[in-house]
Amino acid sequence: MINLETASDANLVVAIARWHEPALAEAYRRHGGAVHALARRVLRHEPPAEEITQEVFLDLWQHPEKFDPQRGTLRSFLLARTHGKSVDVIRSEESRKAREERTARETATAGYDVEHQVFDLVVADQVKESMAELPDDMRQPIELAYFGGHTYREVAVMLQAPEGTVKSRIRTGLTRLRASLAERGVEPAGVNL
Amino acid sequence: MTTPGNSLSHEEAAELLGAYALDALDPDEVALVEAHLDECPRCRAEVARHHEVAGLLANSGAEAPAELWDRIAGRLERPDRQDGVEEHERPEWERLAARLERPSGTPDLLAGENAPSPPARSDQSGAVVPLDQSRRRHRRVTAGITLVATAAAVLALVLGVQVAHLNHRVGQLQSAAQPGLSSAVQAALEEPSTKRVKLVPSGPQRTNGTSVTVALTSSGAAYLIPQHLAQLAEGRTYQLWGQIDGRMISLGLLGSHPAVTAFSVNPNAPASSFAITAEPSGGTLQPTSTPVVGGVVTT
Repeated sequence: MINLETASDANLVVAIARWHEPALAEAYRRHGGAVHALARRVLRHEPPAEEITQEVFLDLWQHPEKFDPQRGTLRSFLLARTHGKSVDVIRSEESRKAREERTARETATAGYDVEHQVFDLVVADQVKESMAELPDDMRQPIELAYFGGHTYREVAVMLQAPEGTVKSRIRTGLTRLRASLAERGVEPAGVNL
Repeated sequence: MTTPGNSLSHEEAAELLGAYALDALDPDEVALVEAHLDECPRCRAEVARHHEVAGLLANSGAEAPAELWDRIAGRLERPDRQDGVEEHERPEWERLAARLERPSGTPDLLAGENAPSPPARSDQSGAVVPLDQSRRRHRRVTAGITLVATAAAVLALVLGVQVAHLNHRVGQLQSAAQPGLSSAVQAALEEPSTKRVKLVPSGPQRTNGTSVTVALTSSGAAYLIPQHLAQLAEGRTYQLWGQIDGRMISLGLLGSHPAVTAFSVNPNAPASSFAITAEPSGGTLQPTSTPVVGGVVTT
């Protein structure tokens, strides 16, 4: 039996593939907070964010083979799945109306969330600083696409910029962000293929 | 432009990778990019890098909600097991295990042409990351992400803070006036095993010189050392919080103008972060204001 506390993420996934429930619990403990926070950030609403969080871990339980360590870390994999699912939700027809009302609701329910705030204080500071350093024309498309769930074509309309320009700014912006984070000692995972 | 049915050149696909990683492509473009990714390790690596950066943007450092796990656990389905069989293998997933667990230097027997109906997930080169390499990568990843507070991932390595009810803690924190405290703090700071957590204000306030250092010793004693923490108005007190199991737990009241303060920690109830808020004197059960300073426990 593996020692869950010291097991690598890869070992956890192998144990999950063997229906070892505590391994899934450990994966949830390690990454559930980030998954939930991302879903919450994109969906701006707790019930669907919780549903997506559950789906992401149930998917990992049913299909651990979809995680390919050569394509990045487990956290990155889970977050990419979370983002994809969240975006599907907000792009769905049923939610279109809700989406229109999102801003109003967001304002109405914007409360003080101390747990997030604590981390936002320090942890995310480097990320915030790096984001703030990006030129607006790169930062905005990234925020609108990632947190707003918009396609780059929608972003182009919103920012009144050519589509080709927007897509290349997203790409360049992400690359710059990575370099800027590295300068601050935040090394995103190295993926050497 | 990209139209369905066409395949993309490397350059065309590469231009779309940022938007692809952020799920910002239209479905037809997604299919085209993914077709290219199946053939292009370089673009796969770029997408992986974009995903890692995006993941950092999303990470608030919050811990996983415990009650949500209960709901997940309640929905787990598994095949019927025979009595006494502890681990039920999923045969097709042995490929996965081989990919993840294969010892270094072992020839890659599973990802090559011998593999039946490969799920086309392995690198086209057939290269499989050996275990030691994949572990090295994992360590590097962990080291990097820890800086931005994957609190959950480092819990096993951090010291804890004793969970205490507010009422029991009021007035129990030792102040620096107590004899021996200064030398105890000095000794703690000189001890290499002592963990230091720096609590700082957020955003623009960060440069105002205010900070609070929390020193966590391996013996369980902890010290709080404020620097330039503004004196509060009458009727207000600073309150120390620890985030334990996803909840903000009050660790005690610090008064309106805190000096060096001692408190105790319990490694069995690890705190992933600390914060100090300004509250009405008497304290509160939950923080009611934005933390004045906060900091995450890293390894």
